[in-house]
Amino acid sequence: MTRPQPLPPESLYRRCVPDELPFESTDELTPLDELVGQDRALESVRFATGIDGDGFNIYALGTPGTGKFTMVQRMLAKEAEQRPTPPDWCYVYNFDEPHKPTALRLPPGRGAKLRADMDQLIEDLGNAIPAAFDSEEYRSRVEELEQELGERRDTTLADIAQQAKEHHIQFIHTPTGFAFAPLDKDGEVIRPDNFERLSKSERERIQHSVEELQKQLQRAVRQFPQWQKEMREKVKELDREFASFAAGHLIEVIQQRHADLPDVVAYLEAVERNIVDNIKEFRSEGEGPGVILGLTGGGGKAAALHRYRVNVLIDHTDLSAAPVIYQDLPTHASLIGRCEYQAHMGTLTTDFTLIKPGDLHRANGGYLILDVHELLMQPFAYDAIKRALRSRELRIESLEKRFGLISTVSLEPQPIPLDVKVVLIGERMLYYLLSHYDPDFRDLFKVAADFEDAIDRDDSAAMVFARFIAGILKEKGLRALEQGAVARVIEHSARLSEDADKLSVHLRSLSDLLREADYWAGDVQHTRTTREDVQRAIDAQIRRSDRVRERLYENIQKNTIKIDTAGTKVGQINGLSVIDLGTFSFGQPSRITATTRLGDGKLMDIERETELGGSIHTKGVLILSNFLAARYAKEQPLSLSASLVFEQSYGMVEGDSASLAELCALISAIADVPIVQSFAVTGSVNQLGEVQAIGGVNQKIEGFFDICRERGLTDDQGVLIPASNARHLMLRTDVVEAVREGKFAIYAVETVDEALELLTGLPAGERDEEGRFPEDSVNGRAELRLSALTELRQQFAHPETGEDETEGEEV
Amino acid sequence: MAATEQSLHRILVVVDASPAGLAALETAAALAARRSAQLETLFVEDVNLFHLAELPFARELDRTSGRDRPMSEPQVAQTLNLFAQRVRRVLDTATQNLKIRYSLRIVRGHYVAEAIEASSGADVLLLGCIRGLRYPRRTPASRRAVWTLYDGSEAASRALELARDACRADHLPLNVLIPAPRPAQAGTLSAQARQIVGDEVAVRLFDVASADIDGIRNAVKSRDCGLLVLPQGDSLRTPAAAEALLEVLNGPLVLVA
Repeated sequence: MTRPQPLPPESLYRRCVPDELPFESTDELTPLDELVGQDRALESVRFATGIDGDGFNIYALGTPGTGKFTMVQRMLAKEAEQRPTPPDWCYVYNFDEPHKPTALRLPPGRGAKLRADMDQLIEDLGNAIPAAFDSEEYRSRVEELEQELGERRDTTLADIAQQAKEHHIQFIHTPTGFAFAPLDKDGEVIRPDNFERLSKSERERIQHSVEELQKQLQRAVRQFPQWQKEMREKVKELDREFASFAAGHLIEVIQQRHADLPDVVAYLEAVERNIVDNIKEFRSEGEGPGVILGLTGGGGKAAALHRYRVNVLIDHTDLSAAPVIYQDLPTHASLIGRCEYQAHMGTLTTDFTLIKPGDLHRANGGYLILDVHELLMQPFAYDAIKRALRSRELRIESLEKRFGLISTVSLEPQPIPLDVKVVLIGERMLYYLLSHYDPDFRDLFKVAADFEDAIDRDDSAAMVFARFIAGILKEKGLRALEQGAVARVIEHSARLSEDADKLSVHLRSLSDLLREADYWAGDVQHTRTTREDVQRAIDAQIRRSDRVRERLYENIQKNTIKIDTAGTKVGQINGLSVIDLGTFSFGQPSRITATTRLGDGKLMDIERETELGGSIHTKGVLILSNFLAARYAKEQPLSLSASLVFEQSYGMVEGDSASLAELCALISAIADVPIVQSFAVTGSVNQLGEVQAIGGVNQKIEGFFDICRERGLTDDQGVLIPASNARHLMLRTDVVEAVREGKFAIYAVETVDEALELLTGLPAGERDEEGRFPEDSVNGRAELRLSALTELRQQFAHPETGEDETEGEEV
Repeated sequence: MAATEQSLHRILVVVDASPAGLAALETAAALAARRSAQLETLFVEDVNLFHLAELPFARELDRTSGRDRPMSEPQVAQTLNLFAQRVRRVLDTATQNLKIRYSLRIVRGHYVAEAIEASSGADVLLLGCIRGLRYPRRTPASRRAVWTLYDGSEAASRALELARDACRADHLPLNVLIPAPRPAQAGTLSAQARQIVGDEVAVRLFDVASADIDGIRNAVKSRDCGLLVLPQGDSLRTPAAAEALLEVLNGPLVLVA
């Protein structure tokens, strides 16, 4: 096996050569107004917006900051321009079921016109109806009816009075009614003693006459209520006639204006009927209990008129395309609308004019964009969206009512048909969780628009990326970038993507970098942003965030955190990890130590035992255990107990990127072969000893380099990385220069044996024809040590060895 | 009797035990409050009711239900006593709300005769009763018509002012009878009447041939007259004249001295 050679400096950083860019500055470029490398997501969105059918809503998934929202919004706006403006929606009073307001659909812009017409009608009715009923004509007609009744009664009574007079009997009003009294010759009511003095026949005649008159009067009086009722009916009919006269022509004008809308015409007919039927309310001066009009029918003139108002829920007067709505706080109420309440005399009341639209109403006929994380955070909001999409109608229902938290009168507005494409924007993990756990999700969000984090850095990529940069500069109003600045941005994007062959399309990071570079360019009065400005922006970003790194490295330099960068040690190695601070990450060297002793094959991971190791880390350690057993103890027990630990690590250790380092430390301890401390190692291994790729390779290398540089580079320092990570290298210039000058080295290893050779200076050793490792190789020493341990273990198991052994009982 | 536009000293309201009596009390109280006058109330218990109640066949027919029931002297006395209490309550309420002073006297006799006898020295006499075989009208107060007669006399001027004030207070139109046998005379009286009424009250003028009882009766008989305000001339001093007018009215008759 050939020992791996250091990677050449050219392979540590893939430069973007400014001279190869065919422009002087981004001014010369046609800005790209869409995201680069998102063809898959674009196609998905186009497909979803083009296709009809239930559930073809979109989930735009990807890393936060990749420009999903910007692109989706831009695309939807374009699509929306091709679609017709959706109708207006109004809620009006339901005269049959007041608690169920009626929804009216009108062409765009007509809702506001209907509202204006009805407001005018209300104003006109407020004047026209009282005027009609205050008119001389109306008064005369009513007086005629009353006169008619009065005369009818008077005529009837006059006949009786005439008969009474003929019999010399007087009609008398008592406090509660009527009576007849016989008169004496002086015209006075006859006194009882005088009456007694009359002859019997005369008394009987008088009595008979009085009784007869009383009967007649009784018959007449009993007719009076009926006559009164008939008169009231006539007055009522008269009222209807005048109401119809006063309101009819006003409503007819509105009907003509909206003659093309049968629903509106029907509503206006109902309005006219209601006015005529309830004309009394228009004539009363009081306001009445008009607050709960929608539910009780209310009272008073103001209340009656309020009933004819139009609540324009959705007004598209100023819209010429389908709506695209974004809601950053999608609560249940803000999505499906709500019925507001007013406090009145200590009671909460509502009516149809207090119905407020939700974002689904606003987006109906167009698109609604929601942040899925926010949606899931708001109680019942996701549930509301699903219900609306499933039923394809918008039903306003308050949570308070559903859960019985409010016990007051409420409305059940007529549901509105829903035709909307909902676009959820969020992280991949949420998409996968929803797909897995919510059976409705896949039915309702059938289209996934998966956004790339990076694009291939092929020949055409630089130019496309430059145009993309030009697009951002134009949109943000920033200075143009010089050729060199563009090259530096491209290199930085490759670094962000952690792959020299990729370019990160993380829009937020890129936009921030360009804006900061523009700031620094302005700081030194550059008319265009230069490469130095971009570099200054990158450096400043790091500078702002690297306090933790500085303190950590300071502790390493002061030997508070023990990291050796020179010499050799058995069972000790420099591992590398990455500390991610959100916007900034850096590599941290860690000392990993391994100890071995006679045992039963148990490999103790102290991190796991102390519950400081994550499951992936544990998996890595278990792989090591099996690798050791498979390589060195195929035909004998692994009579070894070993322990592994990340020294001076007090937090969680996760990931398997240290498993190569751990394995090398273990083998060093087993074989009693010292490891060179001027190296740091990163990489994971499988059971076959193959080294596998890890993340954060650049930061890890730079982290160890920084420690070594501070202590003084000794020309023999370096980092071992998985060979499969070599293409990810986009190292800092100072690291590349150190490698170029031979002061530092990066080795790409494919197997643990390659790593062992580099770390120990000894050959790893391969099994010969007899299946034995060379004795002076690392593997040979390890195998010998393990065999010795096995023998030792056997001795412990059978202390009476030698001759007695054959005589002993088999166990 | 003397009345001025600014104040009246005595207002006498005479009521019987009919619904019209209570309505007249309210009208009189409002008038007394407007003119800062003392309200004298005379409740006349109709002696005919007692005579009738003592007859063996006396029966009363309920105004609303049409049911008849026997009458007796104690029952009539009790009813009238209750009515007197109602009168007092109405007056107490008016005193409280309108800040007026009142007195109440109860007599038993013939209504008109007692009224005319008691009216001596009163500036205004209100007669609140119903006469004749008529059913009390239920015309709303807002639509009651106010009528008066203007013949150019000082009493007529005071009557016109009083009627005008009543109309102004209740936002009612005023109907004025102008008794003038000659057109030229009618024109003069009409102009005077309009001047007295002013612009605040809508006024309608009706020419009548003469200012006698029959003329007034015929003018207001078919017009649902709710309040008739007349100057108390010699022709109106007789009980017969007052009876004749009360027979056609649906509200109080006001006589202004």
